[in-house]
Amino acid sequence: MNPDVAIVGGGIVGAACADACAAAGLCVVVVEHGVEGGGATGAGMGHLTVMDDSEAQFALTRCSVDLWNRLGPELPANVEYTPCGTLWVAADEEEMGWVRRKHAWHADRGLRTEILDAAALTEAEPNLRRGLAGALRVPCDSVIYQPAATRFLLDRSRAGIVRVRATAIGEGSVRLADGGQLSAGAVVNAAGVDAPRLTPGIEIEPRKGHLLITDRLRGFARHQLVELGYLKSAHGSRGDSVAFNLQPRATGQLLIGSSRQMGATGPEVEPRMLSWMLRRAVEFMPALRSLPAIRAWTGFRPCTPDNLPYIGLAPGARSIYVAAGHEGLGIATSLATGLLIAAAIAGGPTPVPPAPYDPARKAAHAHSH
Amino acid sequence: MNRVVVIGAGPAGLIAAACAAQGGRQVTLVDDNPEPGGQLWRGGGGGVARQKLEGVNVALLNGARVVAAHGNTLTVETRDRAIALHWDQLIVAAGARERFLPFPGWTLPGAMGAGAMQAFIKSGLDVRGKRIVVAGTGPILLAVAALAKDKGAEIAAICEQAPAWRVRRFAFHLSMAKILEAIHLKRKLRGVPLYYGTWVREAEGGERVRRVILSDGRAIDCDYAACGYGLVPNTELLRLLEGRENVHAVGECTGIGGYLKSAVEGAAAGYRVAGDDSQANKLRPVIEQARKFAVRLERTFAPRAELRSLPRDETVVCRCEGVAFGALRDLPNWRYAKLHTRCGMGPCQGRVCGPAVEFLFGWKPDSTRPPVLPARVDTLMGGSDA
Amino acid sequence: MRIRIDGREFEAPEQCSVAAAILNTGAAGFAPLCGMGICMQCRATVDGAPLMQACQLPCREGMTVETR
Repeated sequence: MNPDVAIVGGGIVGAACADACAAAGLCVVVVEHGVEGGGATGAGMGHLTVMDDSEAQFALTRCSVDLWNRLGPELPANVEYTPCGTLWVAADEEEMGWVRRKHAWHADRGLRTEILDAAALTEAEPNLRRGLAGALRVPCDSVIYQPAATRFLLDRSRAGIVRVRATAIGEGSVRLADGGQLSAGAVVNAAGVDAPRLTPGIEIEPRKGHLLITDRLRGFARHQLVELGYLKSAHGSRGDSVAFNLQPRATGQLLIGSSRQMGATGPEVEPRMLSWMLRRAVEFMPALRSLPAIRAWTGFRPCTPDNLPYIGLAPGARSIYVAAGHEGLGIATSLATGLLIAAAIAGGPTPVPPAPYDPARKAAHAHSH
Repeated sequence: MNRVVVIGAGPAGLIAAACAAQGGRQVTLVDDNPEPGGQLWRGGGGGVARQKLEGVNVALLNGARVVAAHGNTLTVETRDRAIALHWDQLIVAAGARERFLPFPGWTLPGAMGAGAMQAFIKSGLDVRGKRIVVAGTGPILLAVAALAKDKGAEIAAICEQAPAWRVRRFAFHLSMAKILEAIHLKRKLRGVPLYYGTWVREAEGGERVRRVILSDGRAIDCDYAACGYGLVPNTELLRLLEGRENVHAVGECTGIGGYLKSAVEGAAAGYRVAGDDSQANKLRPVIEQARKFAVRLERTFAPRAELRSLPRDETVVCRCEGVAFGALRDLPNWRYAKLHTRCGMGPCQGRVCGPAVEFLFGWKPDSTRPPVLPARVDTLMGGSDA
Repeated sequence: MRIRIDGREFEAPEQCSVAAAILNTGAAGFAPLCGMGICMQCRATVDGAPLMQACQLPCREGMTVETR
């Protein structure tokens, strides 16, 4: 018997699609030739963060973070769900202005955030340097160990795993590298940076990032910390950039990021980027300097031209769906993505209005510029 | 410029550094131990090693760990600073480490490697009046037992997992010097029970090791269980340097062959970087000989299949991350295990559990990235030049 | 040489490593594996510096060591 849905890609987005489709009563198969969660999912930070670059990004991240927080108590211990909140750190008075604007913007949309002045910031995170202006605290944000979360969602979906590379996707079928073909009622392309190879007409570029993890040092930081300047780094230019982003893991380790490079294709750790990224982190947290780091690695974020993921029916297709291009927010937005895909395939209500993520939107986007 | 950097101040690195310096090269010798000498000449304040360097111009950098390599620069970390060390010719003599195979109780205080027991005694461990079981495999077992006995320990048993016939066949091919050495050790160990084809199945004792259970079911009381399954080459740096020119690997990191192999490979590389190819070429036959010995050594003391069935589901395999055998045994590969259980992701970076899972499950090591050892954040921010 | 391990004073011989000194005291829970700077199981806080590899560190007069 053919499955109702074949999902190409066993990262967290594919896993969440499998989970949501299974919950909608569909029979699911996942095609993953590598390790589940072994691509951008495993290389990333595991943050469940509400973001507000645009209304559409806010809607998707907020909905999904809510879903995660509701799921939190049910998650197995190895997912290490930690509701630590995020502090968006303001370096100066100008950035404090942004903090106040963000606070008001969130309040208008019913999201509770808190403004911390310099003293409150020092109390919340004593290892940050003195002289910072303050921060915006987003209490609903959390951190998880994302490979284990991927495994949890896949297990819960009871999806069969096909361990062969997908070479092409057609209406109702997936062609496999071993010469075989998989037939299914619907196909979901959740292949991350690899998605454009399988679905022409969508644009995803890999954006390389570096991360570093320390040894176990309980209590060094309590919140996920991000510099507000991150926003400038994340979307400001197409050149290389770094921004301070630190995450305390349930193990007591610290994950230190972040860097962004467009056009870099090799997976090697680049001393120049690593050094630049760490210098930025140390500017914010001088005590990091003497901590023992145990590993560094890189990953590639699947990045779309308008920084929003593709979720929905592929351009011109009848039964081929795309769930890809989540850039650095795949973990956070995976659950809402899964629900959108399940609703698109099986019908039913959508968790957020789906139009902004329509994979066919490219033309409209191009017109607007 | 022709700057020679030698990594590792064991026999291979010391001899390589000395030969290169004699040939007029400017040589820096980097080593992570507090004193030069490697494992063979550990202890005694590095006296033997310093003799090897007498009269030659070698800059010695002790307590310095090479944590990254990029282009022709090594990132070296000492206790209080980071150094960027440039090289034109690089000799890697990174040595070997002991292979540990997990068995119930191997994480108890008092259980350690056989080579570890030797290293600890050389570093001041007081074994007077202690009962020690020396187990595992390889010629090192006799050497460790003899050293411990010499220092006042009671050797409760020596357990060699290789069968007696295989060890005898190995001994038959040994050089006269090595045979004399073995006879000397055995004389020192007169009266000590030596069991072939026998291994430690379990260590027991609650708070610390009190006894071991052997493969034949015998229980032996002891204060220490020194159990090591031979040596595995330290290849992390070499993998990081893969494809790079003017990198010469010598000694145990190219294959376990003991002192002679290290000495001649080290000397040949030293001559070669000093531009003396004819001298280096003269050593070829000896190196071939030493490598053949290495192959025989590996065959004779290859760990037996039964050792794969020692760990129970709850036996820890990755000590850094506390990952038990039961969580690993059904997984498809090491990459999966790393990502989903964190096996091998702790501060030793899989140096202990890597060879174990390779033996237990056939998992091959995957990528190597800087830092290859835990390093301070400021080291990776870029050190000062030297 | 006198050193302090977990609050108690001990005598350590010349050229004794911190790890060997700790083993000599029979400190509970201390289970180093390799003795040569590989396994990271011997790490201790030495003179306030955490996670020092005790097997690669020679004892010095007056040193303070915490094993956990």
